[in-house]
Amino acid sequence: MSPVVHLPAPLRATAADSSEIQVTGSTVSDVLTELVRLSPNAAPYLLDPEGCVRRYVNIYVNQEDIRVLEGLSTRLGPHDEVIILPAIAGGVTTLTSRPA
Amino acid sequence: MTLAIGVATVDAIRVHARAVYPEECCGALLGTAGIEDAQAPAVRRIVRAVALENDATDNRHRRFRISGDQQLACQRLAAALSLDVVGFYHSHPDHPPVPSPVDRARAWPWYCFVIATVSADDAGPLRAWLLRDDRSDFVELDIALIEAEP
Repeated sequence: MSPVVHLPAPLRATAADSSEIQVTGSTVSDVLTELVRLSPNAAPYLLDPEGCVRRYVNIYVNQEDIRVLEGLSTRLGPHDEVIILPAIAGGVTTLTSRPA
Repeated sequence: MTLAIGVATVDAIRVHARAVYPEECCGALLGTAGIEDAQAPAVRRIVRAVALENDATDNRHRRFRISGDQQLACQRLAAALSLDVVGFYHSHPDHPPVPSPVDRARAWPWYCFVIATVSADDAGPLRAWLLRDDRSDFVELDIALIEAEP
């Protein structure tokens, strides 16, 4: 058995319209690498042009944000769940005071 | 592509924008995504707007952020309702409902982004946008208002 990766809606089309996919790997980094290998169309959502994980991606392992675990080095067991979600942010461009 | 959204959902977004003015509001849009093919225009149907806390730590009148924990909760709620998170909304206080470079840098393709303009007097009309797959720009979506929730 391999870790299960739960995918947000935009990535489902890259995984045969499935909301989850089993991906082999012993760390989060391994799993992401394998996921992109299996579903190359997922790469633009997850990786920047340098191949690093985009800043606006949230990754959880068993409901815990990997930022409070060991990041991409977080180790995974065969029954672990990896959840990928967008980190949404934005706003108007200017940071000046509001127009009158 | 068309965004089908209920009048009550639009009203809920505008009320949220007014309630937190002059700060930006934000929330998730739950619904369904139509089949995308060349035979028929794709449609996103919004069933529910979920108001969320703006998690930006400063400049909240010009910035919004949705925390990961809120994202996780929305994903669970959508799954429980047999829906998907198909987009997000936020407000632009005293600015037009047009995506900014900041919005573009931090958005994901596929999701629809609804923006509401809001002033001290009223919340204006909404506009809906979709980020191109190459992230080069947003494309505006047609909004189809429906009386009853789909």
